[in-house]
Amino acid sequence: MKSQVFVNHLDCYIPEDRFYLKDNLDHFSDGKEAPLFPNADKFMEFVNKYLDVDSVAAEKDPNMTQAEMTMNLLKKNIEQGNIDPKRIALIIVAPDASEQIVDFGPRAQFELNMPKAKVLRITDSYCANIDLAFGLAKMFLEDLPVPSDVLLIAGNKQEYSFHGRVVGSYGLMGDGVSIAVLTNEPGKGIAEVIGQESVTKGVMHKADLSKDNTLIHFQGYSESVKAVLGSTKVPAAEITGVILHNANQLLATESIKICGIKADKVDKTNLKKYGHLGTTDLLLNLKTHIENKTGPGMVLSSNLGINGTYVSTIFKI
Amino acid sequence: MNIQESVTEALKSTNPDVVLNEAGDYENKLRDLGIDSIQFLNVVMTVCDSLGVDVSQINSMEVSTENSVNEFIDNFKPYVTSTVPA
Repeated sequence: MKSQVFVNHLDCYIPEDRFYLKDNLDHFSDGKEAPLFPNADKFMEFVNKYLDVDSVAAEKDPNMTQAEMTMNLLKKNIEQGNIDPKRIALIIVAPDASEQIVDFGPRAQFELNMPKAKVLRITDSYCANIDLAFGLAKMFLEDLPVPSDVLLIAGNKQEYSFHGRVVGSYGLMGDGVSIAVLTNEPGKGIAEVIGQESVTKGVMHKADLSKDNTLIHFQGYSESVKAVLGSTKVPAAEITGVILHNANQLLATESIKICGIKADKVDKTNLKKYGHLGTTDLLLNLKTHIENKTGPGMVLSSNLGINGTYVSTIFKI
Repeated sequence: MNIQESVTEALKSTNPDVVLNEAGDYENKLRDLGIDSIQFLNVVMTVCDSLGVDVSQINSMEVSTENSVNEFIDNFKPYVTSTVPA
């Protein structure tokens, strides 16, 4: 018999420094890095219409790398007793981009004294890497015969400039790292991972962010939401909350509506606070939603990786 | 209702600023007519609904705001049974 899998702990570190858009608009003078926006006026038109932010969270200190921010967060949580290194059976590192915190999993296993932990890394699905990590952790834990934990590590960090921060017409990246501890031990969780379904549209493997990919994203989102509602047998009417990326939510919202979930279920608490923190968004928004919960319920997360991966997960809180 | 009537009606109901009075108007790209991503999605879903086409079956690599109105109309033809005139 398979064990239930729970989210035992969530934590994030988001730098207090801000990257202000208006101070850096010369980036858009040649349109090379942000082909949708040939000039600053077009970019600000998009920001004002769809994102409504004047800045994003960003680490100014070049010595404070994503790896160091993550290591500090892990050490703090071990000291506070939120992570028990002896119980960690698997570490899954799920950065936003493939080149981020390479080799961090083995380093964490060694420096934080988790010698028995297996180490995995998920890449190629960008912001949805962490969603897939939840699914993988659930599969791993539900068949494990002994009480154990899985450590998920997520995050995004860019240099202190616009470079790498503009994701087509989807979002504006901020910096932030996060962790989650999942367990198969009953009674320890703050949320249960009920089920997950993912869809990959391989045709998007060469994502051209200068093209209009509206319909394929809509189809991918909708397919994954319908699939998870079907496989978990959770009726759309029982979804009490929805968490999405802190980015342009229009397409995702249209997708949940067509699946029978009302748009006012989307938790927008963090939408305009920090920018899109890549894989940290899911852990941050789940943490916030649990902290703000008004009662038990079913929470749907539905997120995309910009190259054509769509993952929907249902949590019971 | 045929495909052209369905598309024309969906465009006008979604964005009243869209004008399709002359044949040449149908050569304009949807994007250039002022149809943004969400309006585009609404148009696609409205057309699918009126023609009885499942939106998940539409070739999403072909149908986009980069289509002219004529191209957009043509892209629906494979999904419509022969009883509906194009």
